[in-house]
Amino acid sequence: MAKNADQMDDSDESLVVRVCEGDHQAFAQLVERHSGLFYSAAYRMCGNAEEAEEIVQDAFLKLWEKPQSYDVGKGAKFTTWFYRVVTNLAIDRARRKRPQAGPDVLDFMADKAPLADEILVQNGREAALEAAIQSLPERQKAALNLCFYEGFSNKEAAEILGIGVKALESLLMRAKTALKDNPLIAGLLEKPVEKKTG
Amino acid sequence: MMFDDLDQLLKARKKPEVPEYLSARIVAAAARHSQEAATLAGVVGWRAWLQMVLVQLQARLSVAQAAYALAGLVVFVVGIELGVQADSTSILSGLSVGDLAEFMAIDDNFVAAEWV
Repeated sequence: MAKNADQMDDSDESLVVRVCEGDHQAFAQLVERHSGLFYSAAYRMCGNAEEAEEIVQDAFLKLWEKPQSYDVGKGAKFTTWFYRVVTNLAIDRARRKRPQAGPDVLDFMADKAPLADEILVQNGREAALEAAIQSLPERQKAALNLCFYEGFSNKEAAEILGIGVKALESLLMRAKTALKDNPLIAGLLEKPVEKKTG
Repeated sequence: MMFDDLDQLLKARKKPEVPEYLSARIVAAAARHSQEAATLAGVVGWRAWLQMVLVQLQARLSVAQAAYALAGLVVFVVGIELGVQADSTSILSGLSVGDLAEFMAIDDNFVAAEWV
């Protein structure tokens, strides 16, 4: 369905400029345009519908309260910048739920699903895959989501996470290794994954 | 169906369903936020008082003392609201009438006349 001509001319960046002037209509337009996209991103991070709604709402409220946080002049796309806001909110929220630990420990921790067979049998492969991904440490999960599901290149995903490309590639590799080691994933793969010994 | 490698498996992840009401919820939350901010900004005296209290605390007290004083202030105000006599509230909160007057930057005779 074709949009109104005025709306088609309003880029995200120009809408944010209007939001800076207190234009609620422009804000509503941004929400209408992107809330679904960022809800999906938030959901993939937290695995919970209610939390995903809260994360994306908080992110948009941050935009409403301080639209000048997005610097149009820097040249970064609005969606790229907003992905960073949403991702950081999701990571912060998850970390608040976990016991306090340094970043190395958080990245090293990976919950092993204790009831893998039960989940597989009762809920099917979709639930098993989701459970396995949700068990990843937050930054590994974020790297995986950005590269696999949000369509970002390694460079773009690294920029969103505020890390170098090599660090992002390391997160991706660790995420995949953790998933391959997860009993839930082993049950879904055709060939059994050979675990490296030694 | 089994998958022959991890990448293929990952691509089969179910796409989240976006709730239909989501946009409306967010826009309404922003509108409510604007309304609340406007209401609070209108209560200038209350804001100014709070800012003054915070400055006073910062200037004169350590973090621990400031925390204790704030807790006492909360108890004091709640006590007054509940109709507890000022002198009893003062004892409970650890704040004297003079302390309260100083924090609120009002004459302590006024405080005494009003609540004691």
